[in-house]
Amino acid sequence: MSGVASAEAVLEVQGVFAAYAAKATALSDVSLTIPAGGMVALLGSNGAGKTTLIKAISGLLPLHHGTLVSGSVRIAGTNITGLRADRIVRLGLGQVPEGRLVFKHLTVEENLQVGAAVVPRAVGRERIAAVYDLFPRLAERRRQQAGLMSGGEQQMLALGRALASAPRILLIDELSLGLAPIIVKAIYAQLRAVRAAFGTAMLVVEQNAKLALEICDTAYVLERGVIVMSGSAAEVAASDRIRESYLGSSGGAL
Amino acid sequence: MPTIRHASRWKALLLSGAVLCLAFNASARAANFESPQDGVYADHIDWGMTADMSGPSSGAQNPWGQGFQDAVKVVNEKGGVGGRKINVLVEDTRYDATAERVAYEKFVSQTPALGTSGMGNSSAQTAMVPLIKRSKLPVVGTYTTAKAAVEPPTPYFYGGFCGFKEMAQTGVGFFTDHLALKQPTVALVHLDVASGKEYAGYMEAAVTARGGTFKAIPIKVVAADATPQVLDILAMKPDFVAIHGVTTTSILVMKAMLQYGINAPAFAISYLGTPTVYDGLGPDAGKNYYFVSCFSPASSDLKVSVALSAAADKFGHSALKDDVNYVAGYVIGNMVADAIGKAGAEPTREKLSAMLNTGYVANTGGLSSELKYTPTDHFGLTALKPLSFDYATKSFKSYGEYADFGKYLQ
Amino acid sequence: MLMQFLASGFMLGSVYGLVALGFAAIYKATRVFNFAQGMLMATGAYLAVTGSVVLGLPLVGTIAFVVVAAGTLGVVIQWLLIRPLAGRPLLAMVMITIALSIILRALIVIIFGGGAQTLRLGLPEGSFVLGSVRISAIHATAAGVSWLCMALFMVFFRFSKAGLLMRATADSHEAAVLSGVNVNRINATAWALGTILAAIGGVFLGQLQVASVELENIGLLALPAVVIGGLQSIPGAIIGGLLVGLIEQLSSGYISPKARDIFVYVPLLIILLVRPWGLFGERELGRV
Ligand SMILES: Nc1ncnc2c1ncn2[C@@H]1O[C@H](COP(=O)(O)OP(=O)(O)OP(=O)(O)O)[C@@H](O)[C@H]1O
Ligand SMILES: [Mg+2]
Repeated sequence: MSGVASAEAVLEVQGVFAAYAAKATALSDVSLTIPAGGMVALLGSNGAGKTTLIKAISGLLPLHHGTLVSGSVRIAGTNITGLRADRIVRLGLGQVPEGRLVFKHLTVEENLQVGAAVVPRAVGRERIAAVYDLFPRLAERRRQQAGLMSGGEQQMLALGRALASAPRILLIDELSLGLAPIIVKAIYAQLRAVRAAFGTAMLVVEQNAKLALEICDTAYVLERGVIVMSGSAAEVAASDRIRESYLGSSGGAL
Repeated sequence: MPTIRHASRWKALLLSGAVLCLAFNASARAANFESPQDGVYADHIDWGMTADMSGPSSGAQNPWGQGFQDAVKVVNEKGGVGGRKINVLVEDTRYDATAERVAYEKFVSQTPALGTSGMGNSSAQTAMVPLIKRSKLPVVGTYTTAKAAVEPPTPYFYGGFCGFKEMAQTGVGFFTDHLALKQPTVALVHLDVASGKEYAGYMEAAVTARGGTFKAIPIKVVAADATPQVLDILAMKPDFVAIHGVTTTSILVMKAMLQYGINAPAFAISYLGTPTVYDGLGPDAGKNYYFVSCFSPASSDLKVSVALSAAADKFGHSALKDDVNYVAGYVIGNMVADAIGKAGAEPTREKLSAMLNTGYVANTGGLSSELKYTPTDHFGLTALKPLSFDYATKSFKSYGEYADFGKYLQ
Repeated sequence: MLMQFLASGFMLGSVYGLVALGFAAIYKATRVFNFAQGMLMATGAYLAVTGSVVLGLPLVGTIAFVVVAAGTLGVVIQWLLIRPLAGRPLLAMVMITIALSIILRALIVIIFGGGAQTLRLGLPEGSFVLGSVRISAIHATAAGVSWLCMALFMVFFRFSKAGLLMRATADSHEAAVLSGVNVNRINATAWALGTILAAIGGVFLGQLQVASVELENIGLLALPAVVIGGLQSIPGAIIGGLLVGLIEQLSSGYISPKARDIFVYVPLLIILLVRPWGLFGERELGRV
């Protein structure tokens, strides 16, 4: 765990403690760094605090009766600790939240436009075109009401909406939930394409540890609110602890 | 009274609660101090006045209260009554019966007053008759007069405004003769509240007494439109129309009549003969709009209104002097001062009510019809006259003297 | 006769629809059931009095003044009363809006006195005959302007960026926040628009009669209108307003003025019982 501020780090979380009204400590002394263009996996079992960490970064904790007790979060050197969530988005943070959070009554196109609303019109248009390229399924359904689409399509839309805001860093919380493995694989392949095209850094929370470790450069492992391990994806994948608890004999759970 | 409360009930509760609190506060302060008999002090006399100064009927009652106070101020500037200034204790009762009762009880003993005026709430009056008889604090000059309060007369209650029955008789009589009708066909638009139904009864009696045809058409207090009522009028083709209601009623009905090309004249109850209504109507709709009143707006008779105009100008109420409600308050304020003077050098409630009860005629200087009380009649004012507004000269115009129309009253 | 009732019901209903639309805009964006909508409407009439009588502005100036002042009032209300209570239980919000209407009423009475104020903006008076129906110019103007405002609102809501963000916020507060929408600003916009629409309705009702605080009771007809049309539905609010106007005219015309309340509120009860999302509202889309 590096505590040293690095100039090129796009996201830097330092010594974060977080709590909920109903839970005294959900995160304790969590630090994490994502270099520009980096793809980082965040692993951990249910209830470890992964979603809490994402919300602590994105400023959404207060909306869930949680607080960031201490510590700091920086995006590209700018301290965003305690900023309003929508301002953090404007500073370049995109988010694909847990559970398909799309605008159900809006069309696919409108969902993407809301995502693109934080960037200049031309950039937004370009990004939306790129999203349609990545997910032709969304292009086909651009006039469809989002609430009427399948779960997988909604998940693609949530991702597309985040990409439309041209984020520097994208937080992705359990994208694979409820999706067919083949689709998950395809989507992750496209995430790599996004990174290649736009240099977007990503923090990927994923139950499917094997998959996550395949596509990411580095990984952190969170247990009961504490980072218990970090390192390159290969190192983490090789550790006994991870092999036992996450990768298992079948080589990846879904 | 044509106005009724229509604020929702709980709001009323809240408000009366607030009034109660204020009343208790004030009375707690006053209770322990010197409390001479009946509010008469060495240098001043306390006199009560209740009116709806900020509630649902404040549009009419507030001018009344201003007129009353202006009249008393003039009296005080001239030295008061028998060397004592009259101190008016104003209670804003917001057209609330409970507040009315609380204010009355306060004037009885907590901040004793020699008498009280206003009480423009006929249902409160009806309910308070036993209390008034028991407490013996005279109510002198009311803004409206409930039948139960003067029939049979009690020594402690004296009206101060024209009555609905007389309004109906004067209006029907005048227009029947004016338009040279044998058997008038008359439509009445009235609020569907108690006073409106009472008025409809008087109107029907007045019209049928002349062998005419009558139709009563109800309207809501809170109406946004009078199309249904006016289509009813259109179907009936009346010779003239009568209106009972609030400011809005007159404006909606007259404007809709204009819209549907009904050219019949209309006369409204006294309370609705205000500049606000004529302003709202404009000359096209307003030219057919008349009202009957026992009080004269200042501009209708410049000779008799000199003092009233001066008082109104002096106290910043120039805009009100053509409002019959202001005139009514002014007349009653003067009458109260005069009556106190006639109750002896050391007036008491008993002396005052005995004086009024044996027979009293006020000098209203022509601003109203004869205002008098007899042992059998405590209503006060009976005669009315028809009036309208001349937009060209911006002044009210009356169609004769009060005495000319006494013949219509039965 | 029937045609006449339908025509006047339609014209009044258009104004109700406008006020109801303002109510729906506020409800949709902020989930606040605004019991002050009637008083906001009455306030609009007094703003017009202020503009035309007190400030002596010409018609266009008065309208501009009403729009700007009402918009500002909406923003101030949201900022002062609604924002601090965000996330509080429904009851607190309802009490706030009721308190707001009482405060506005008291302010108006203090400033203008309890009496009615004449409001004459120099809009066309008189009437004309269309087929068998007689129409007053002022009613026609009121209906025309109402429809214009409703159309402008619909265009704004459907096609502008702010309208899109407003719809997004109404759809999911959290998703809007994490898409970078400044929800507070959107809510303030919704309050501003809702207040402006109510105020314009008040200008016309004040012009049809007088400006008085009692206009509140007419404005409150927006509530049944919106519930009948569907709380969540923008077109529903407009149609609900039209229905209330038609019901009012037909029931007063053929039965009695008192019948209006029965014919407005009985359908309201029936709708609440069998179709709580209103005639035009959508049942919640299948949530996962
Ligand atoms: N709103 C909340 N109020 C109180 N406690 C909460 C709240 N949200 C989460 N928690 C608790 O905080 C801990 C961390 O939850 P979190 O959702 O961050 O876990 P997670 O790692 O995302 O789990 P999963 O893999 O199941 O999504 C859990 O014990 C959870 O019960
Ligand atoms: Mg989670």
